[in-house]
Amino acid sequence: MATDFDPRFDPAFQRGYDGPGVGPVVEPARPVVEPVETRAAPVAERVETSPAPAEPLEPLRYETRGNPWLRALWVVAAVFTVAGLLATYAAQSLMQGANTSSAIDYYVLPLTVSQLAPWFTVTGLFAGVAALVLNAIRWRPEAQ
Amino acid sequence: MTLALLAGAVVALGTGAVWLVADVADWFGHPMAVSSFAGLPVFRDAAGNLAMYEPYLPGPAFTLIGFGVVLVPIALIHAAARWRRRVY
Repeated sequence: MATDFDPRFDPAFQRGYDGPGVGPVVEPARPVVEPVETRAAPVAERVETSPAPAEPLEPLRYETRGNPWLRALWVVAAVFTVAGLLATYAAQSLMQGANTSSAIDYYVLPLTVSQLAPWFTVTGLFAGVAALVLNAIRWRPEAQ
Repeated sequence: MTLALLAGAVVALGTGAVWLVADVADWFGHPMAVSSFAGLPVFRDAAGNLAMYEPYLPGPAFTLIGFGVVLVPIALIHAAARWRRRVY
């Protein structure tokens, strides 16, 4: 009768079993692969060598209220933009003027001013946009 | 980092300015006379003679100055983005 039992499972839990209690554990047909001791080591190593959980990217934690650098950025933006525009106008005036009293006035100054004006204008606008973005990132609606 | 950016800006601006002044002084000290009078103004040189020169040409000094100009707001942006109010 015992041969009718499925050898893979305990006869106590199979139909027709009337023996005492739970019998011995039947060896499963497929041997269980015992974990090798060395198997624990790679797991431990993997745990140790695995990179730490990536910390979430910390957002820029700066403050706009009372930020002296942000104020300086606004000032630089205004000064550079105005200076660049004035330099552009001055360079055109120097080039169109009929002042030929000296080579410096005619050749050097207009070219120097006209070469530097775009740098100041573009950089000033760039600084203004950057200051605006820095303020926009930190903007929160007023508490209701 | 902010100080490094500001230092870079100062170095670029200073070097560019010195370079520019040297270029202008060199051009003014040794102006090249042009061979044609067409479309170019005539100046009086130090001896009182009429003269005309090859125009002064921009050099790398302007690029260096512009690089320094750009570094200034970059340094300020970096400083502003890291600034926190000190709590005592």
